[in-house]
Amino acid sequence: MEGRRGGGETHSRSGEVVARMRALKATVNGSRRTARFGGRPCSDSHPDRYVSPVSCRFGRNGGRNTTLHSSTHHTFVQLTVKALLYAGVDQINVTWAINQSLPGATVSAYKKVKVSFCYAPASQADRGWRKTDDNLKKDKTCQFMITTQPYATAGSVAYTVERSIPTATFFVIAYVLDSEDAEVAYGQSTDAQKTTNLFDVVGITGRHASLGIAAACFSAFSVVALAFFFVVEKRKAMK
Amino acid sequence: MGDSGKSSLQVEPSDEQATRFKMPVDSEQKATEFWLFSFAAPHMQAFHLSWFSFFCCFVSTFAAPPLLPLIRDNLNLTTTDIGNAGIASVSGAVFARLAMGTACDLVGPRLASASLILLTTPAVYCTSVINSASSYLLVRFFTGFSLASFVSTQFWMSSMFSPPKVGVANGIAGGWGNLGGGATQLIMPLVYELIHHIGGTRFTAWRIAFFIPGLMQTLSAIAVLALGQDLPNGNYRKLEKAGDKHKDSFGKVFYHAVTNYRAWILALTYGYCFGVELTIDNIVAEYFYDKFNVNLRTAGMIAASFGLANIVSRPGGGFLSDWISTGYGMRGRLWSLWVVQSIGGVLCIVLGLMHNLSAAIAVMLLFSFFVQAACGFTFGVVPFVSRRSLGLVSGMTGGGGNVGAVITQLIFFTGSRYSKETGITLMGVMILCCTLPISLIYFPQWGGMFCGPRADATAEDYYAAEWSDEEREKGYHSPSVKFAENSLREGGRRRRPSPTVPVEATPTHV
Repeated sequence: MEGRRGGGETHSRSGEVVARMRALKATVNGSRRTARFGGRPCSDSHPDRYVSPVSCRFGRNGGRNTTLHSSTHHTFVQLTVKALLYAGVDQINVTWAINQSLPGATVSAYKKVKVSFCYAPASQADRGWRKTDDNLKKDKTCQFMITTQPYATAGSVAYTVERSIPTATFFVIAYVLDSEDAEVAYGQSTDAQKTTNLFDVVGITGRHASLGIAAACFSAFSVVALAFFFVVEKRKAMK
Repeated sequence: MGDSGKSSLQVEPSDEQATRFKMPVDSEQKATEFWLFSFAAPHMQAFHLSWFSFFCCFVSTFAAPPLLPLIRDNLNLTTTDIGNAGIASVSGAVFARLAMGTACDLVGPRLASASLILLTTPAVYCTSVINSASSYLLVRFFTGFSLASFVSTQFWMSSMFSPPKVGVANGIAGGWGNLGGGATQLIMPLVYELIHHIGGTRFTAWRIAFFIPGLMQTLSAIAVLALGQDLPNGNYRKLEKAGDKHKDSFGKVFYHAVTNYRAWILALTYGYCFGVELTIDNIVAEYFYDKFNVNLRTAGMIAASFGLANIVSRPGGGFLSDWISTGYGMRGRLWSLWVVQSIGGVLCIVLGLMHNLSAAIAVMLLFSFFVQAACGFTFGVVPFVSRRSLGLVSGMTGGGGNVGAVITQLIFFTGSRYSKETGITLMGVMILCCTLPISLIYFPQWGGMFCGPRADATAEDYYAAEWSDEEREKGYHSPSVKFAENSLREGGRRRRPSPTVPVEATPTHV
C-alpha cells in the first residue's frame, strides 16, 4: 500500500471513490439490560457488548431496567471489496436509518446522531491507545468523528476523509445520543465480530521534499563544520 | 628518581607564570572555587559549554516520546515497535560512552564531544523524513549515541576543577544536562503546537519540530569547538606539540581502566541510579496515563517533573558528596552514596504500590530526588578511581548506566509478564541488591565503607602505580602526582597527621 508521495499534497489518484455504506443489522436480540449504578461494566454474555455498557456505565436510570436498541436497517448492499480511501482526497457516503419496529425503543429520548470512524481489530492489535473497552468512557475505538446531526429517522452524510486520519483499517459507527449526550443506541457498518465490510484509509505521510532537502543541508553543514574545525586545529598545531 | 617536585617543574610550560586566571587555582591550574553565574575562561566557560551541549543531546534523544501520539499514528507503529525503539535509544550509548572515555583520554574532551555531537545531528534532522517503524528505530538508536557526551562532560569538569569542587561541578553539569530529558517533554509539544497553529498538518508539524533539537545540538557543538579549551593551560594538541603533555597510548589507558575493580563496581551501581532514571523517562508518562486515567498532557507534565528535579537533585548529590568529604573523606562519600541510592530503591518499591494519584506523584518526586542525587554522589567518587584512565573509567561508569537502563527495560517493561506497577516495585528491589557492591570498594590510602585505610598507603602511591618505572622516570606521571597532592582531603579529618608526599623515597607498588 503506497503512502502519499512527497512534494506537497498532490496525489496520484484522480476522481472519487464513493463507498456507500448501509447500517448493517446488528446481532441484537433486544433483551433488556440491567442498569447498574456506578460504572461497573456489565459482564453479560451478550455477543454484542456495545449493547450493555452505556446503561451500566452511567447508571443514569437509577437502577431501572434500560434497553439499549441498535438502529438497524435491512441490508441490501454490501461492500465485498475493501475500499481504499486516500486521506484528504476521497469521499465516503454514509447513510443510516432507524429500525422503529424493535420493541421498547424510547424514541423520544433520541436527540442526536453521532457518526464516527472506528478502528477495526487489525488496527487495534498491539496498540493499547486504540483499545476497545466495554466502558464507553474509556473506550478508544472511535477517535474520529464524521458528523453530529439532530436526530431523524434516517440520515446521510458525504464525508471527505480528513488529512488527519492515519493509515489504518476502519468501519463506521452511528451512535444515537440523548439530551445528556449519553449513547443510547447505535449501529455499525460491520458485523459483530468486525470482520466484514471494513475499509482501509491511506493517510498522508506528512513528508515534503523541502523537509528532506532541509534535513540534508543541515546535516551536511554539521559535518562540514566539524571538518573545518579539525583543519583549523591542525594548522594551529603546526605553526 | 621519583623526584616528583623537580620533574613537574620541568614539565610546566615557561609561559606558565604569564597565565592569569580570574579564578583561584591549584597546582594543576584547576579551579578551587565554583562560580555558577560566571563565564570566566577557561574554567566556568568550559562548565557552561559542556552542560549546555549535553543538555541539547538529552533534548534530542528524548524528543520523540512526547510526540509519540502523533508519530505512532503517522508511521502506524505498534507497542512493540515503540518499546524496541525506546531500548534502542539508550543502548547505542553503552559502547559510545566507552569509546568516548578513551577518546577523551587521547584527544581531549573538547574535540571528542564536539565530534560526537556534530556527527549525531544528522540522525536528528533525518527524524523529520522517516516513514516506517524500522527507520524510527534507527534514528532513535543513532540519536541516542549523543548521550555519550556525558562522559566528556564529566571528564572536562574533572580536568578543570580541583578535587574539593569536582563533585559539585560534575553534579551540576550532569544534572543540568539530564534536565534535557524533562525539558524536552515540555519543549517538543510546545514547538509542535506552534507549528501546527501556523498552518502545518499534524503529520507535518511534528516533523518540522525536530529541527529545533537538531539546531540546538549543532550550534552548541560549534560553540564548544570555537570557545572551549581542554585544559586550563590549553588544548591537548597544542600542549602535546609543545611537549607539555605526554600523549598517552590507548593500550595502557585501556589496561589500567579494566583492571581496576572499582570501575566495574561503579559501572554496576550507576546502572541502578542513572539507568533507572532513563527507564523511568521512557515509561512514566504512559504509566500515569494508563493507571490513573490522566490525559496525555497531564501525563507529560508529570513525566517532565521527574526529569526537571535534576536542576537541584543531581547537583545536590555532588555538593553533598564534596561537603561530606571535608569531614569524613572518601569513606563518607562511599557511605552517603550507598545510603542515598538504597533509599531510592526503597522509594521505587513504594511507588509501584501507590494506588492514589497524589500519593504516587509525591513518592515519584521523592524518588526522583534520591535516585538523581545518587548519580551525583557516584560522580563524586569516580574522579578518584583512576587518574591516568579517568576518561575510560568515566566511560565505563556511564556506559554501565545505559546497560542498567537496557536491562531493566528488557526484564520488567517489555511484553506483558509484569504489569507496570509490579515492574516498578521489582525494579526497586533490584536497585537495593545492585547497590550493595559499593561496600566492596576500598582505597588503600583512604579506606572503604567498612575498613579503614592502611597506615603505609598514600594517594601518590596509588596513582603513581598506574605508570611503569620508565614512564615515571620521564615524568609522565606528574599530573597524577599533583592530583594526589590535591586529594589529601579525601583522607578526612584524622587524628594522625596526614601522610606527606614522599619526595625522596622510591614509590612502593600498591
